[in-house]
Amino acid sequence: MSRLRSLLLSLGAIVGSLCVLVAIGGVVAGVNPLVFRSGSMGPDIPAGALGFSRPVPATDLAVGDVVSVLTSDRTRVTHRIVDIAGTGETRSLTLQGDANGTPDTETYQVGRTDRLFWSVPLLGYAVAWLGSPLGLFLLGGVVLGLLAVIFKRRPQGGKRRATALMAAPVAVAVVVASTTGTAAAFTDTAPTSSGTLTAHTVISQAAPVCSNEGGILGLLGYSELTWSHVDTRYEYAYTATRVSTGAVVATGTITPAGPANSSVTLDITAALLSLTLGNVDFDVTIRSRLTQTSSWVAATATVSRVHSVNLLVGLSVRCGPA
Amino acid sequence: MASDVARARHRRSAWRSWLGRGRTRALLSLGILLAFGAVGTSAYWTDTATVTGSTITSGSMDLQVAQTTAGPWGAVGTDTAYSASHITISDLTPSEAYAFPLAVRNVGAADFTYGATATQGASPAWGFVDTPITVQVFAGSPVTTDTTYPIQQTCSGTQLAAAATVTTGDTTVIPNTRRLDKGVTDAQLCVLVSMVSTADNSNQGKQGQIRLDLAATQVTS
Repeated sequence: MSRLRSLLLSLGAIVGSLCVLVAIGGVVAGVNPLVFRSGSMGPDIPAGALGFSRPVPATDLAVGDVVSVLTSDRTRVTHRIVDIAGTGETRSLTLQGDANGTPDTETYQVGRTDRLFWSVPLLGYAVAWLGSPLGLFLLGGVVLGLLAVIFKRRPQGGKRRATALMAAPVAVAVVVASTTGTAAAFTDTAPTSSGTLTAHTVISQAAPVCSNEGGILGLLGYSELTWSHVDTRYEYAYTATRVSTGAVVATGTITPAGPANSSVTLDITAALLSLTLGNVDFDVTIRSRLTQTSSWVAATATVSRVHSVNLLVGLSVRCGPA
Repeated sequence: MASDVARARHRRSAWRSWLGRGRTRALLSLGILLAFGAVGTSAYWTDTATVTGSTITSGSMDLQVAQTTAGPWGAVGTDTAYSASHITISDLTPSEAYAFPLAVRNVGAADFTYGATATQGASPAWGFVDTPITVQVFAGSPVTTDTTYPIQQTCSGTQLAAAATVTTGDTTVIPNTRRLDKGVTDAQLCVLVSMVSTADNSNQGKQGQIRLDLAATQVTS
């Protein structure tokens, strides 16, 4: 035969034999050829490389090994181990592509996994191309040509001793072999930081002004406390206590409807204080707070002193101490 | 012995002539069918993706971030940060919520899926007490018509995940499955930041920052 044909047949024989060996490796040792479909394991394992893995127990794995795992959405990822956790039969692996800046977001639980032991650049392109429509078409043509060589009638009648012997194992290997594509996926992260979130601070009202009101002929006099509304979001809680005993005699809330800086008033009457005696001092404590969240109160409160006055005709409240 | 040598030489030449036959080499070449068989049959024997012709992708990824889908775009390049300083609240009280726009696009060489987690930022250091801040992302736009206390802005559209408390850990606000093919700008997103109604009084005047970690993973199938 011609030199070219002889050369092609020799090349084919070598490649075909290698394929048989890989297939045998797959059956005997679980060797799995992998096509690297992205460059995230670069530069050592570029996109289009062909790698070979074999299954190892999780307890044999070490940081730095390159392993091939299935993600939660059933794609195959082949990255390097950067962290191993866990005890017993299974391990929890954190993987990262050599060309990626951050580890994979998912951690993988494995009991047994495929560890890469060898890789060759560029051959993955060839294997992947063979799977494409054009590649399969040409492969089919090659197969037909090879069959023609095998079964061509020879002028002097040939010996076919090799034919039957070779066909069976090749046929078995064809059925059993598998090559899988692996997604050594690129990642990109974008940490996005907000501006500053600042919570509100409840501000106290200024000290109220006290004025004595009423008291016609000494009767029904009361003290009026007046202050400026701090914020439309606020209301004011007040407590009146008897100074000498500390007993609380009155509590309440004033929720003004006006705008900020409008006047807010609180009338301290004899009825409010449940007065029975004259010359008694009372403290009226006023603290601002949010209307929607009554637990958010101003850090300080104002205290206004008033006292009771007992006249022949009745009790009144006057500003200041007795 | 001369006959032994002759027999050995005969065996060697017989072996060489057997290999030399075109027929034999053609048969060995048929081993290449294993690659064909691998492509065609692995679906029956394994649960992983088969190799198909045109899925090898080189090139880099680039997820970019902006306020609105009109840009201007930040986080340009791989693994770069974005300052969403427009997400700022100056006077937050319990039960209030503020909505802000956010946009994402894919300008890299590969299709990807992306997701996001929220965590406490560091600048300023987290001063809030008992994690009173929640964040939630919607595929929609901010609705900022509420201007009366308590301010409760909303986001239009659909939520991408339940409202997440912002803690020192990472809580998912966009599940990892949001797909953007290369060249695609995602629909307008909306970030809703709230303070819970039960926020303690000790949070008055405190400050904090939220960090949303967006992460894109290449789609290779």
